[in-house]
Amino acid sequence: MPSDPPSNRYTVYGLTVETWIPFPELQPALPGAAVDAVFRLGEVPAELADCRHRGARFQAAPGRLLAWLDKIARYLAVDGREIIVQPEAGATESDLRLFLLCSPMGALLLQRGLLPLHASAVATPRGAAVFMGASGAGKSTLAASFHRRGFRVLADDISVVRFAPDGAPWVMPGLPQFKLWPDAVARLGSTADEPARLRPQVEKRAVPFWDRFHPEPLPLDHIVFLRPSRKSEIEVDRLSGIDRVPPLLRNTYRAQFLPGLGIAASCFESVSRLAKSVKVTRVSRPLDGEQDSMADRVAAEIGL
Amino acid sequence: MSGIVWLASFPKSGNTWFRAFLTNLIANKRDPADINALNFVNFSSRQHFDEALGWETSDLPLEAVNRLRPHVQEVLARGENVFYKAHEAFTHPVSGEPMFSLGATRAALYFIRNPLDVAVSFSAHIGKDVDEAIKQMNNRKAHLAASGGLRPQLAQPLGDWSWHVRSWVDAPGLRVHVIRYEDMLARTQEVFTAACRFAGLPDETERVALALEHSSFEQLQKQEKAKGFDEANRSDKLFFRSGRAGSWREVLSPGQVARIVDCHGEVMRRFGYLGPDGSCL
Repeated sequence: MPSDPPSNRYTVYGLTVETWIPFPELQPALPGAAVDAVFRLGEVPAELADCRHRGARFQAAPGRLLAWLDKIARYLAVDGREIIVQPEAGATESDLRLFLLCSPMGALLLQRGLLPLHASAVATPRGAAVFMGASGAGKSTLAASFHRRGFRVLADDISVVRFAPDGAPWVMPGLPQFKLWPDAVARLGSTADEPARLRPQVEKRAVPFWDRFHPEPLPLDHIVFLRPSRKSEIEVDRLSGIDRVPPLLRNTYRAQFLPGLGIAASCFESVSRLAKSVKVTRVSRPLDGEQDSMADRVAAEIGL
Repeated sequence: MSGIVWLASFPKSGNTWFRAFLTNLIANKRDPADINALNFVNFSSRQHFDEALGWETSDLPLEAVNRLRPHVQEVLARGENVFYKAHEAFTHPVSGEPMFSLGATRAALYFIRNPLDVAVSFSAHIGKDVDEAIKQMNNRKAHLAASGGLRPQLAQPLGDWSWHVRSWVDAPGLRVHVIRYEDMLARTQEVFTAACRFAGLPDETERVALALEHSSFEQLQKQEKAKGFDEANRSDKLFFRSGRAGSWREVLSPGQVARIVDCHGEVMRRFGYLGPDGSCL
């Protein structure tokens, strides 16, 4: 029997994905793992006929999310099973991969009924600690300071929560790469090499952490909700019951796709379920604060 | 009515005072609104922008983000009675590209304040001396929130002070109502009522008066002293600092006044900040 051509199979957020080009930033899949989703080249429509909600660069319909960026590509996430990519002329493979793993990936995870949070996750003896917050809240920087202190890391920027059969929330490992701004790289102290830019035209750096990647799921222990603040002191408060729901909803990754995808209600159910079973601590982080004191304070709050 | 009404100004020109008034006017409650829950956020809030865009601006270069601004505005403009605060110039001060979509815009309230007083207030706000504040006000390439890594706000091109004013008040096709900070202080009820009428907001005398009482300088400063103001910079000792006109006379040196007047004399004259004989008013 002729053997199949070599394929690119990886594992990310607990899924096995098959891709049309190598994704060196992803962890290779175990041989024989069944494919959950496929990333492939193909034709992507300019509009969704049954679009229910449109943003500036996305359209959402039941089962389908179209998202595009000028001079990069159009992406279509379909039924949680595939992401079709139609590159624009001149787009680099590295840009195609980078952007695929953002909004299209977020849509695919939501379509599969998973709960992706805008968060980074580190492995602690108590389980996964999840640092959640909007862009600029400091989640990557905080996860990177824990990494520097010897903790292993499950994911940066997107942390996927999945409920076990007993109802307990678990965090799935993502990809072993921080996205950090030069000021954060500098504040974390010197690494062996100057990290490469994520894209030549942006300042953000790609900092891989294969050395201390945690490639297995972990029970979710604590969510730290980070908010940038203009005050000079770190402020901390433990959220209880119903107060946990709004930040979890607000920081569900690409929550703006949900109404158009027609799955807002089921996602709300997952959020409510999570809110009942997990500790959530809100931490207001001074914008120009010192990184070590922030990591010390968070470590103390989550009982490390 | 759909379309965005912009609350536009160079920083420290009465915009936040008006937002506090507007929050109270809409709420129309017996007690003053919390200054840390003011409505009508900055259009350049990264979180709001990214949400409407569907991507993260932190992965995009500044020029690409600027080109997306009008498209994001068109999404936001679909709501009813949408107000946003904006500090960016109406057109980009260097490239000349539009920063705002006319199609997404219903109107603009433009707040202007004597640049001599702006310099004093801006200096306290950015935590730099007055000379540095003047340097920024005279710099065509000045930006807000442009440095220091990933900020919660997008970088906002300001232009120099005169560019900023002209970009808004002379924008072709834009329905704009200019409000002088000095008039807001001197003829408060009348000026705020006129702004309400222009923007299609409730303008009944008592309702406006109550909202003004709840957003009076004393009230804003009292709340800031009691619990802090989330929108203040760390360098602000108090964001609601003095709330009056003419403090430049006690602070600026003749050389500093000259640097501002040399650069902005024409626009100052046009808006009544400079007399026909060149004297500062």
